[in-house]
Amino acid sequence: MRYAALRFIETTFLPAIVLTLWQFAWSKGWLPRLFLPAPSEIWISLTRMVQSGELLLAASVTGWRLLVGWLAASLLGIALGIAVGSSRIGHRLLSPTLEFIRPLPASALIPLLILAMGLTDQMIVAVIALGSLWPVLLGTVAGVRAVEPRLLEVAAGLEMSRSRVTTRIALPAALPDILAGLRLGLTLALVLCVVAEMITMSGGLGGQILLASRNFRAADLFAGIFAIGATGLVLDLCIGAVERWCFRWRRV
Amino acid sequence: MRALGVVPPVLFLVAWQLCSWSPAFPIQTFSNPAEVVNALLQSIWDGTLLRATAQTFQTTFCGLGLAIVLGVPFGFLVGSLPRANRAAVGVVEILRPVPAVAVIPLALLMFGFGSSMESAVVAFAAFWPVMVIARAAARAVDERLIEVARALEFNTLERFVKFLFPAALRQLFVGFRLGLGVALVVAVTVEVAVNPQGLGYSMTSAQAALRPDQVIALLVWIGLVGWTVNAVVALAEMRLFRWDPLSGAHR
Repeated sequence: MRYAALRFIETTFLPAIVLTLWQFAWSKGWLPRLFLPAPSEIWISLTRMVQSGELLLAASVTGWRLLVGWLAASLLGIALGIAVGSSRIGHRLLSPTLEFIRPLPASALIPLLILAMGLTDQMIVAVIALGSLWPVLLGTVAGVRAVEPRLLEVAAGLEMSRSRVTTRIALPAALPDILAGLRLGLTLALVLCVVAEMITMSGGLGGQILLASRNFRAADLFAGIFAIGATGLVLDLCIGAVERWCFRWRRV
Repeated sequence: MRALGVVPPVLFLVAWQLCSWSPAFPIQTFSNPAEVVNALLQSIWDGTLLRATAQTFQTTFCGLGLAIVLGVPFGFLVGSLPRANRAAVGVVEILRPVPAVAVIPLALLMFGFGSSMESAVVAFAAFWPVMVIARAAARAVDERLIEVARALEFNTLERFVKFLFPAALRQLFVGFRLGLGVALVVAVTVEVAVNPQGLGYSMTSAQAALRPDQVIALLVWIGLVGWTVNAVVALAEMRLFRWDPLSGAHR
């Protein structure tokens, strides 16, 4: 207990010092006020945005787009990944193409999608879906391909059908890789959502911070960045909880 | 058998070209392969593509350089001194979940449009992989080396420069490679989002000019550039670290 308290003090010590110095330097006028507001100002701005419901609205807009895009990407990625991973021909055919597309920045798709779909909500969702598809797809392919061959031999011996092999053996075995892909995809989805919102200026947390920056409202900008960081953290905690739930049998 | 991998892209290109001849195809949005190749050659010929590529590379490497200069010493410090790590972990855990793109508006407010703003965002993004790998590398340094350094009565700086850095170089290079991947993606993203320069901006302006052939040509070019950079770095890694200084063996 005492050890934990000591730990807590040690880790919060530096942030507290930084914040105090920051506030002090600001009140003395040593900092450029154009883009560096005082911590107290950021706090005021944050509480105002929370109380007026403005932040919750923006976060829910962003969260909705992000989840729809990410879910679409995940379903498609897992399905495609099983198809590519469980057939040797499929893998030979598609893996070079996938390897080439993988390092492409997903944000580079935005101009093309704007041409195709305009500055719409559907465009933002499509950007997220196409961008966060890759980690899930590649994770599933890797996971399915790494299934213990003896399990597959047993399945063949039991004359299990292909769909049964997939749901009973391949998917559970690939689950850790799939979850890792889903997690990476979720991080990417938040990034892409923020970028797409900045470009289309259609509400959400991304639009909000760019607007704050253009109007020189630095305190609102910092509050918005904080909200985006917190959103990312919450999403990560959620998927971490899912991961732990899936592997609860491991810790026995 | 390797040739099988060529089949899907070729089939796709042929189908795309064939479809584009049908009157029902939305050619204003999706162009066709012949036009895309034409646009690519044209932009190489008139120099705009290479100029944009040079701009993107310049900010990518400025940002990555900054990330390395800050990230390696920081990673070494928190990696080799547990107390420094516990002190820094609070700040790190607050800043790290912030996506680099969320910093774009702040960088815009601080530096205005241009290379410095873009480099700053790239540096913020690439700092994390570089720092994390440097921290892990410092933790993994062979005990024997630290003992030798202590026996020779080296001070902390000498220990960093003469022992930690050479011993960790191989692992650090992995961090540089990851950082470079992140840096290139973030640079293009910043250009697509706000900054009027480089490859990303070429794409946005081609989109605004309703030139899908140019947009797709740039997409293909960015893919080629990214792939080449990865290949070159992987090759360099293989060449540089064929010999393992600790075990004295070739890997």
